[in-house]
Amino acid sequence: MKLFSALRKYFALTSAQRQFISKGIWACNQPPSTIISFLRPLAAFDSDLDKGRDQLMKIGCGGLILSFVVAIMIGNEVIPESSAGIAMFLVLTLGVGSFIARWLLGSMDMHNNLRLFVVPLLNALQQDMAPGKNMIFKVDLRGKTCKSKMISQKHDNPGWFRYPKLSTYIFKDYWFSCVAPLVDGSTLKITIDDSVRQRKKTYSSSSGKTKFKTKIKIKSKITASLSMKTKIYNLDKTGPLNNLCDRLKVKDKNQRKAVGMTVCQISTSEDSVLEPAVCLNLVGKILMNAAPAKAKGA
Amino acid sequence: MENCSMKRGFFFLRPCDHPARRQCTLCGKPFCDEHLRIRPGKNEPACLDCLGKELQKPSRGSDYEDDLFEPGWSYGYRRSFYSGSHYRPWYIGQANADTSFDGHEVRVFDSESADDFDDDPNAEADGFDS
Repeated sequence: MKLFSALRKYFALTSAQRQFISKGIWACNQPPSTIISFLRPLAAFDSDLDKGRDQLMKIGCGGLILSFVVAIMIGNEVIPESSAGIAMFLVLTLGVGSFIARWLLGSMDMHNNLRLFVVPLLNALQQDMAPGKNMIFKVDLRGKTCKSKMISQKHDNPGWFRYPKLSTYIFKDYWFSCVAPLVDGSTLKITIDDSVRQRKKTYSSSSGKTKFKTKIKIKSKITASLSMKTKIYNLDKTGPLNNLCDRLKVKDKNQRKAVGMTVCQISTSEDSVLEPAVCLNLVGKILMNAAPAKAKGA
Repeated sequence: MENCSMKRGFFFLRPCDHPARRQCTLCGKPFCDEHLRIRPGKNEPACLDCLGKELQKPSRGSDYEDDLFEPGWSYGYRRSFYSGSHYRPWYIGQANADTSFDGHEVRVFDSESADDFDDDPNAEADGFDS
């Protein structure tokens, strides 16, 4: 059962890793191998925990169905009266206990972006990092709608028992950033910031019932910037990159040229997961556009 | 002693300069300890390239998500990345006429450019906005 595997992995975590699970935020300036060794066990734990919680949901549903069956059997005197109480107690404990355990484990569940986006992305970037150099890394998985990330709120309330009432909350979630010196002397910077709009609506339906609805819209701004040495790369033609992203930023200095590409993605769920390919594609496009300053040819 | 046959890197490929220790049981090439792993379920060494290729097989189905944080994932994924995004990796190192990576064309730096990689990176700010 995956739940036991998850618990085994949890007890094998260090206190710093457990602290990350409870706080959801971590920043460091360390070699990429250290960062990955820190995050990989967390990703493995999270994967097992997700599967374990799914299993608990199924067991919980099974337990509740079983309790109905047991109740019918008691009613039809298939189960003797002396053991009816124990049988009912056991199936209800199984059903309700599973739901309670699932709910309690929810506090240890991290956003899937950690294992499906952050770790694979670092896995790939690590391959090209300059040897012996550190990566500046920050990840914040506290949730996109936690109070500290709220930047504004607006309430449209027509009064007592008058509908619709509409509350709009705006959040800014700068949840991922990393700066990595690469093997060619370039410096790569990747940032992701989400603008979140949450709308809570209370309205009265045609049948007169009061209903609640919450809608969320997340706009993720993914930016990859490469600061490249002009000695090594010829970056005169950045024009074609304009058509490959939502926003292109080019900054010239004497020895370096920084090219930043931004793409935006929209989702309607807090649980939506970014794909590492989005960031890798941006870096790939910048590098594909760069020609060697002193060409030899392929 | 022969050097490891692995091409390191994702965007920038370069030869691994560690001495080879053992052969991969799948491709038969020699690799260093860093680039060899024991094949899951079999007590045989396999290189990260071959393991990565196995991880990319669509038949793995639901296991695929768990592979994303395995060390071999990026070695397997880089091939599909090159094909899917038409990316041609840079090659750093001694190149010859048939320098390519598994049929993917590479771009080669000349030796003079490669000497400039290690210039003091702090000589000028990175150029990013603060």
